[in-house]
Amino acid sequence: MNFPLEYPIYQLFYWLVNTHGVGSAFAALAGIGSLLGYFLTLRHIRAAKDDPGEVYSYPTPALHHDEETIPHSGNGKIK
Amino acid sequence: MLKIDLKDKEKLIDPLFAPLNTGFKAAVGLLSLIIAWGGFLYIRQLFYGLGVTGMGRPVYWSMYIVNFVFFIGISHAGTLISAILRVTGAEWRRPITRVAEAITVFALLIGSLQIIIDMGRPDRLPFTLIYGRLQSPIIWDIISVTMYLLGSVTYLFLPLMPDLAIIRDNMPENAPNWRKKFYTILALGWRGTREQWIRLEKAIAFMAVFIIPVAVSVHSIISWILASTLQPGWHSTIFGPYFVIGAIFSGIGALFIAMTAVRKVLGLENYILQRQYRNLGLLFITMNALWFYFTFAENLGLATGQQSYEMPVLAAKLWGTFAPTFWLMVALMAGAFFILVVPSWLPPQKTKLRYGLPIASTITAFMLVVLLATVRMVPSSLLFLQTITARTVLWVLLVLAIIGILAGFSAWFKSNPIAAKVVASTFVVIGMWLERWNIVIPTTTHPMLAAYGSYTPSLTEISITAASVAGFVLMFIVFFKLFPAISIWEIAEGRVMEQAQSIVVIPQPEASGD
Repeated sequence: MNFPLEYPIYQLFYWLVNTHGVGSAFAALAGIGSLLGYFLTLRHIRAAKDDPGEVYSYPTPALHHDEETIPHSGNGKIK
Repeated sequence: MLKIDLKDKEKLIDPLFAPLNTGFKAAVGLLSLIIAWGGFLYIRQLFYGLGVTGMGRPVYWSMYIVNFVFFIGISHAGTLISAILRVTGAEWRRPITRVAEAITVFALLIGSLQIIIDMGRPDRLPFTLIYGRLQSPIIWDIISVTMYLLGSVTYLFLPLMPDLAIIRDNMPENAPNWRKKFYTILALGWRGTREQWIRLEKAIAFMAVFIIPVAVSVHSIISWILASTLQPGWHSTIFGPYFVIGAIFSGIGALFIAMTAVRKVLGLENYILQRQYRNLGLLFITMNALWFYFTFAENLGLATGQQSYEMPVLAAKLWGTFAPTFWLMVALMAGAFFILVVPSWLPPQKTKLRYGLPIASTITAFMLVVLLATVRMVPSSLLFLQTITARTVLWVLLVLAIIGILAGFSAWFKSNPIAAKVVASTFVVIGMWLERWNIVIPTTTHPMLAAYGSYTPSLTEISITAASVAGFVLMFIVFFKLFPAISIWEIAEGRVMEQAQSIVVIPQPEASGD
């Protein structure tokens, strides 16, 4: 059996887990990625364009009625 | 302008703008004093080094690490429980999610702080980030705790956003200007349009699913920091699930205490009902049973392995230096299980509190007589009983007395289920802190390669621990002076859903027969 570190893929794994700073990069990536994701989510919610006159204090499943509309033919049967 | 039910406004918004009462001021003052004392001793520790603690060769991890594991465990109260209940569509969750999510954020902040306190040279903290290597569970921990903290803050904030807008639109006209600006800024321009609700609901649903594996990873990784070493008592494959189960268990305990305090202090008896206590109580009993299973399995492995370096750790816990904390932990958990389960078997309203103590005393006296009779009339097959020491007899009597008292109070627990849950939760929270102690300290005092040592916490460590608990409670009190303790829109939504469901008539099953 060959020694695993002869193979480039294992050399890459070895480098990944043993090089100082790579873990830091992952930590930074997780932190910055999370912050960016949450910021964009809040921005996305805030930026929703809609009829400003129609506001609701709470949602119900009825709020989603348009999304679940099944196209009907004229005679009442599902297309 | 967003509307709110008048009763909800009176109970959930108006108290936020009421003048500070004496109780609030006294609580904040007392907690601030405890924090100030802890802060002073921490500064002293910075100047004089960790020599002011009870730590020393070979004990380098002690009370601060116990606190770290404990608080991170408590943090599972909120986000994980709230997320699981949200994902599974448990309607009864609505009044308790806000309290649960707040516990998570504050416990995580206090828990993470313990690591900095534990560092003799906190100025070296950036090194763990700069030179972090992926092979180290410490860096996994930094990644998972960071993600959990940021995720929990977001998960607390998302459902809070519509409530902030409701407060913005319905606060009293004489509210201070800074409060008006505060809620307007934090509401992030929420108007409650259809598209905004749809986007918010999607974000909350995503976060609820996302946060569950992150929460599980947090406590698993904390356990792996211990389990990935070869230290006796830590090198265990079941540490991950054992820690996660313990975290959820202590989290539910903290949630029971916090939601009862909020219910009592803010007068929310019409929002947080018996239903929440009953359903969460069932989850609590399940976690209690699982905790016993894992504790047994963990120690069974050590006992049957009989490894020369692991047995001293187990012996220290079972009958050595750490026996009092180990058996107190077991007794508290067993007591909690008793309080949660046994009273429900009693017939309703048969006995009252005034009979509780006499019954307890009678049972204790009866057990005492049986014990004495057994010791006096020792048959030859039980000669080992003659070697029983006075100390052993006292311990047995103590345990019997506790059982007797719990049995005597069962009727009271039955008629006061909320108080019973709080007593059981207090047992569990103390028991879980002791569990962390029993995991960390016996191993650090019985290392594999160095000579055995001993550990007694110093005044500095005890004071900083008290200050940490005070800090947690203070954040909780101040938060709920600024924000509603119950999600206003979720309650309103729940009412409408309940009303709609009550219209649906479920037909009886068709009678079958001849």
